[in-house]
Amino acid sequence: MRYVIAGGGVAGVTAAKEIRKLDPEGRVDLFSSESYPYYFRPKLWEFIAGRISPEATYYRPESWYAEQGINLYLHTAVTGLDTNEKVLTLANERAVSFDRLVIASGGRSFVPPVEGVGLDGVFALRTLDDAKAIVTWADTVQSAVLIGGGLLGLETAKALADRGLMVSVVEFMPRLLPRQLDEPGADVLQAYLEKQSLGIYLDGMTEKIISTPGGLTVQLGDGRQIETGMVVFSTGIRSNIEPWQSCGLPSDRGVQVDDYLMTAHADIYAAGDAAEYDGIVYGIIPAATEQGKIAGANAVSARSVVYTGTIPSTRLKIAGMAFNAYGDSTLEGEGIVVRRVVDVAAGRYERVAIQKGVIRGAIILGDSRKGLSLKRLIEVEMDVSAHADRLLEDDFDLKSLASA
Amino acid sequence: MSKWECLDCGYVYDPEIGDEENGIAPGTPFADLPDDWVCPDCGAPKDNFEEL
Repeated sequence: MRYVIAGGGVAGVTAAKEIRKLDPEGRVDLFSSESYPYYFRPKLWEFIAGRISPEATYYRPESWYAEQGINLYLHTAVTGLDTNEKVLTLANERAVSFDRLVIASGGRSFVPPVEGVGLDGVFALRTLDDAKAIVTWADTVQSAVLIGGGLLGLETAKALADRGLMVSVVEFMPRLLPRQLDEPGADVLQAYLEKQSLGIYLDGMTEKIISTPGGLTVQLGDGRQIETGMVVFSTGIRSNIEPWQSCGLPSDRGVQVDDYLMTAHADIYAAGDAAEYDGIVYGIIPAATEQGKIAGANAVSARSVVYTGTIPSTRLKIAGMAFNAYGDSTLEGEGIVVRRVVDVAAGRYERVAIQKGVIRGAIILGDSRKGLSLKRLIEVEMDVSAHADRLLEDDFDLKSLASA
Repeated sequence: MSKWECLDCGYVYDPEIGDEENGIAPGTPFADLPDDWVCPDCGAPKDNFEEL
């Protein structure tokens, strides 16, 4: 049996490990378009901040793959797929046949088509190569503008600030982390970040970037201007669905998969940022590892493991401030009971949303341990009606409730 | 001995099981894992774990 995995990120590596475990005899080929073995993307910020070397972002050294019996091919992008013959075409024009294919081609940065995005000094962060280019440029300038106040944008902003730059963040929405935080929570986070000397521009629509004698100027739609030495976009990702879409695998935002992570072709699976399950491209590590494992298992034994979706869980850890959001974190409306603790001065914000006695979403700024207990309660859908008023109180034993 | 969970991917380190694939014998408490040990599922470093 020959298994081919297209993509060397966390979903691809997880699928490869699972296949190796379940089918010790099969041949496992892992093709990656990148020049490096899988690296833990959150460590890119550590590298940008100047705390670790590029190699320290790797999950395992290149030699590990061979030890596991996984054939790793770096800088080998997959460019074509023939679903009838079950043959892949590689960038070097080689053809590779497979019995089972796992698509794990990930995503790429999306940069909005505003004037000036092609200028020198304008970047987007996704890969280790991106991070290296950003670091090289950052060391020649004093300031940076981050466009996009989501999780990745804020982490990148803080990393550049740690490197010694003056950093401003431009967010299109009226609050930071619009997907994970409600307004009071965003206020607490913003106050904290401003204390860390980050400049925050809300309601900021980037109109254009202009090259000036002193560097770059970011021009916002309402007339505000920010002079800077560099610009980094963090405005979302798009799934890499070429060449899968062009060869006829149904794809929308990602390659569409069923409850077994099988695509429209019975021998082809998809996982991670390239996969769309039930209309969702998760774009987060826990979904990529869960899907990679299940896609790998089903590639070995068709329809052996069912995927039921991943409860979103995201975190941000900037300078000692941990931010965790679980489930439908900003849920509100009729029939939803929201409980909050807000303390702007202490940088504390906690919120749970309860529907029919069950916690559906939680936000915890500060206390990660509490976050894990809430995540568990969301997963098991425990009825917490009896404790709803006390859940967030300091002396309430959330941990015992979660492990009950 | 307490279990620790990776906040990035949800992997749980159970000291009774260890992480034998990566040379960690059963019975090794989380605190005794080497500094360069990373989450076997996603590659997150030790300080991304939280005690359960």
